[in-house]
Amino acid sequence: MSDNKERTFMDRGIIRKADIPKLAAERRLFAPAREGTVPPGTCELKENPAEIAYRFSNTRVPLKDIFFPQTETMYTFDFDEVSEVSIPTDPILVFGCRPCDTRALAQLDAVFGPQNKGYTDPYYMKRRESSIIISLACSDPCPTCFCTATGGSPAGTRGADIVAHELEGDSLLFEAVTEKGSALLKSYNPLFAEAADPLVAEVREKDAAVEKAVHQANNLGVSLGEDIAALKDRMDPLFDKRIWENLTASCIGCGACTYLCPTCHCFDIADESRLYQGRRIRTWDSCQFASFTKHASGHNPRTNKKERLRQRFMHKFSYAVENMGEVLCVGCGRCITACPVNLDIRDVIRSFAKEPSRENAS
Amino acid sequence: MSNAQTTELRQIAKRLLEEGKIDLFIGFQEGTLPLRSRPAFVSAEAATADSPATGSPGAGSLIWDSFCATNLAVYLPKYYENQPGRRKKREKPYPKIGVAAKGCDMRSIVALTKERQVQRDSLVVVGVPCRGMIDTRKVEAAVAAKRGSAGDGGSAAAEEILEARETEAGKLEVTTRSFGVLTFDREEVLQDCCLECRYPMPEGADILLPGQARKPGDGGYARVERFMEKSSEQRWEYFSSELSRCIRCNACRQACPTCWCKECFAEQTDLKWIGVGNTPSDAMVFQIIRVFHQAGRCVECDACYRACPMHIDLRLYTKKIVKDVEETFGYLPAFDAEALPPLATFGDEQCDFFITDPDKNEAAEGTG
Repeated sequence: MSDNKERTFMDRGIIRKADIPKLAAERRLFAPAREGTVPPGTCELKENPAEIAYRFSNTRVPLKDIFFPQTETMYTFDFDEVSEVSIPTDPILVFGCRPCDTRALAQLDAVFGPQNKGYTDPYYMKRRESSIIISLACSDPCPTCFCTATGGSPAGTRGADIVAHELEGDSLLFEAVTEKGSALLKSYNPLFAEAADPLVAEVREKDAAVEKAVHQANNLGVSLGEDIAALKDRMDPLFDKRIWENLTASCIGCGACTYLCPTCHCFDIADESRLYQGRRIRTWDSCQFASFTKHASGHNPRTNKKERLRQRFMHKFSYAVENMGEVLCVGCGRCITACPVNLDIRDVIRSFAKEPSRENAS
Repeated sequence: MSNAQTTELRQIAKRLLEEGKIDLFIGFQEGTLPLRSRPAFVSAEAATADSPATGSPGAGSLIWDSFCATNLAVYLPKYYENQPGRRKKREKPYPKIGVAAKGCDMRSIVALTKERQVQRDSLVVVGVPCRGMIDTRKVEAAVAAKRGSAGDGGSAAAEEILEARETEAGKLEVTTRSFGVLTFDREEVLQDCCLECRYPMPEGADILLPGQARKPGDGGYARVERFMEKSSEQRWEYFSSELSRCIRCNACRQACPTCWCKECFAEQTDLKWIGVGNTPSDAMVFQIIRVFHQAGRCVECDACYRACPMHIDLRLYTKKIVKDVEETFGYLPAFDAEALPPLATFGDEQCDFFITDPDKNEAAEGTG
C-alpha cells in the first residue's frame, strides 16, 4: 500500500507560479493562502486567494473540508414540502495541498465512494468527480511529520492528479499521475515548458533526501506501509487492558484531533427547525464527544474518555485495516500540534509498536 | 529540566504516594513539542519508577518549568467520570488525588469545591509559587516576525522552533531552524494572563513548594476598557472575524476547569438550543453562552485561549465578565472557600437594573 515505490508519471512540464490561476479558468480554484489569522507556519485553502502561499508546513484545516464540508445542508423543509438541496457540481481545482492530504483523500474516496460495499455518498462524490487535485510536494517537513511511518511519503502521489515541485525561479514542475491530470497538462499546453531529465532527476534526489529526513526524525518503530497490521496485531489483544487508561489519562475530550484529521470522516445528521421552516444538515462528528453514538434511549456504548479515545486509535489502526485494508492515518501531525494537552499519537503508536510486555497484559 | 521546584515536587509526590496519602498525583512531565510540558498522571505503583510499557510515568519524570500552563484543575471533576468497573461515585469514597497547583489552578480548585465538583479533603494540593508561564504563541509570533524581517527567508515549512529551554538567568533560549538560537526575556513572552495575574501565589495549598512568586499584576481591566471604547461595529467585526474560524471542536470548553456540566447546553437534543454545525450564528451563540456561564467563576487562566487549535482569542470577553462581576457585586473568585459566587446567591433586596438597564446601574447603587 506504500505509495513510495509505485511512482509512474504520465506527462510533465514546467509552469510559472503566476500562471496557476490560469489553469482554473473553468474551475473554482482552491489554493493555500495566509489570509486573516492563521497560526504561524500554517495556512488555509482559500477560494481564489489574492496570493498563493508557498512557505507553510500544511494547511490548518485539512483538504477533506472542500469535499466533505463541516456543515452541509441536505434538505430544507417547511409545512408544505421538503426540498432536496442540489449538490454543487462546479468543477474544482485544488492546488497546493500536501501529499499526506491527497493520500487521505484517496482513503476518503474508499469510504464515500462506490467501492464501499456499493454505497456511494453523492454529496462527496459529486464534488470529487469533477475535481482536479494538484499537490505540492514537501521540501521541508515539520518535526511532527511522520508520513513515512504510515506508508506515505513527502512527495507521495496517491490521491493526486498532478504532483507539483517548487523549482528555482518562481516555477513549478508538474507531473501528472492520472489521466485527468494528464488531460489538464495537455489542454493548457502553452503554459508549460519542457522539463529536462536531469532536472527531474535532481528533484527525485531531493525527494529521497526529504523522505529520509522524515523517516529519521520520526521512525516510530513500525512501518505501516509494509505491514499494515503491525499495530492491529498488538492492539487487538490489549483492547480491555490498563494501557488504555494510562494512554488516555490526560485527554480532555475535545474534538480538535478528529476535526483537524484529514482522514476522520464520522458525521452526524440533524434537523434544525425554526418557526416556519427548517433544514436537515450533515455535520462532522467526533468520537471524542460524549454525544457520539448516543442512542435515542440515552444509552451510550462508550461512556468515558478512555473508551472514546481507544475508539479513535482502534478505528485508525485496527478496524480500518479490517474494513479497508489500510491504516487511516497519513502522519500529517495535525492532531499533535492541535492537542491542548500534548497527547501525542506518536506515543500511542510507539507504545504499541513495542512487543507487548507482561505489564501490558495485566 | 532540573530546578529546585522540580526536585522538591518529585520528592513530595513520591512520599505522598509511598505513604499511601494519595492514590494518584497529577503534575507535569516533559512534552513532545517545544515550549510544552504536558499533564502527567503518576499512580502509586509507578511512584518509584517509570513504567513505559503501560504508558505510566513515575514520580521521577515529574517536572516544573515555565511551560506548565495547563490548568490541572480541569481533571478533577472529570476524573470522577463513570468508568466501567468503578462503582458509582456515591458508593465509593473519592480517590485521594495529589495535584500541583499554580495560583490559577488553586483558584479553580476553590471554585470547584464551592460547586461541589471536587472534595477538598480528598485532595492534597501542592502549591507552586508561580513565576508566570511562557506563552507559546508569543514565542511563535516573535520567531515568525524574525522570519518576516528576513524576507521570505527561512525554512519552507514554518514550524521553526526546534527546542526551547529556560536559563538560570531567567531567559528563554529558543533553537530555530533558520535563525540559530534566539534569546528572549521571560517577561517578553509570558502569557498575558500571567502578566496581569493578581494571585500568582496559591493560598490554602496543603504543601507549598519553595520559590518566589511573581509580583501580582493589576488584572488588566485597562485592556477591556480600551476595547469598550471601540465602536460597536468594530467590536462586532472583531467578534465575527474571530468566530469565523471556529470549528466547534469544543476544545475551549473541555480545557476549562469551570465547564464541568455533565451535559452541555450545546449537546442537549430533546430541547435543542443551538445547531451542531459551524454555521456562524451557532458558533457565536455557543461562545456567548460559554462566556456568560463563566460569570463569577472564571479565574482567567486562559485555558480556553490556549486550547483553541484555530487560535481564536475571546479573552477580552471573559475578562469583561470578570470585571463586570467584580464591579457590580464586589466578587472575584479567589481563595476564600466561604464567599459564594453571585450567581449562586440571590436575595430579594438585590436590584436587577444591571440586567434591564445597565446605564441606570450607577444611579441605582445604594438604593437597591
